[in-house]
Amino acid sequence: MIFEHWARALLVLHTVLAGVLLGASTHQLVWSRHYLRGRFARAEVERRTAQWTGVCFALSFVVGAALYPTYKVRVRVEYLDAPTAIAEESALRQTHAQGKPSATPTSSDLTWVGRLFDVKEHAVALGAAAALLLALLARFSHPKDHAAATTLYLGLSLFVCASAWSGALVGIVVASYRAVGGVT
Amino acid sequence: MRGVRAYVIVSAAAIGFALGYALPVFARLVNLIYHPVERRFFWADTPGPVAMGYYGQVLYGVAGLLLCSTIALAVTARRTPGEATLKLLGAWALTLLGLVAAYFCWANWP
Repeated sequence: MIFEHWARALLVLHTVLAGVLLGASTHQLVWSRHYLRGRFARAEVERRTAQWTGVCFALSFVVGAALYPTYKVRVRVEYLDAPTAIAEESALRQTHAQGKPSATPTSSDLTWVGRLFDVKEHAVALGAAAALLLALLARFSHPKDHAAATTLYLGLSLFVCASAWSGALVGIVVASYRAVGGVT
Repeated sequence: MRGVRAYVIVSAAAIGFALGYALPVFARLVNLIYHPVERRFFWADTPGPVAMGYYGQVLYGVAGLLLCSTIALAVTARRTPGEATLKLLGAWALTLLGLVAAYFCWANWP
């Protein structure tokens, strides 16, 4: 797979970028909350933060997209969508816990984890586009200078922040089952 | 004037991306598929269990974004849109982003 040897390093980078993105998008949303009332006390720092949010979202998206082939094969196909692999791991864990092979091996269906990841991938694709457009709006048509842009600006801010948080949380949940790093 | 133009272009770009992104899945169009094991791209309407349609879908979105923002750029060069048009564009941009996100959430919900 392309970038498979870099998967662990890319995952760390993806996590760091996502952390910065969460901070930037949350601050940006919080600082713009008074715009509907016409108060722009933190407009300058908020405008810069919106632009950083766009940059961080785009970088995080690109790194995530580079990881995606490895995830698709090593995590999704070989584990989450493979009941045999889950049953074997489950049996091994039962053996370790009980000290002997279990008479009745249990298995669980993890296809829902893969589907949850599908929800995330669509949310972040839309969120990345919205973040870049928000950065453009912050640069050229900020609500402080152009009042008609306020609703769109706040709507995009909310959408970007929500997609960043949902993407991060779902990413952690999926990685808690299996991540992209191999044994070497 | 520059602020109004930027607003219209951003709204149109958001509309274009949302529509373009949803189009290949919703209308089952031929999409650019990447096979991660064979490391090759090909055109198909469904990716199958291993191959991925995600890159192609994002490209559809980018194409929609570029198309709609170019149209907006051309239109705003000739005339300035009224306040009602601006509100309508902004509302459609946010609504479509929300609708497309909800569609994929509903379609893939575990």
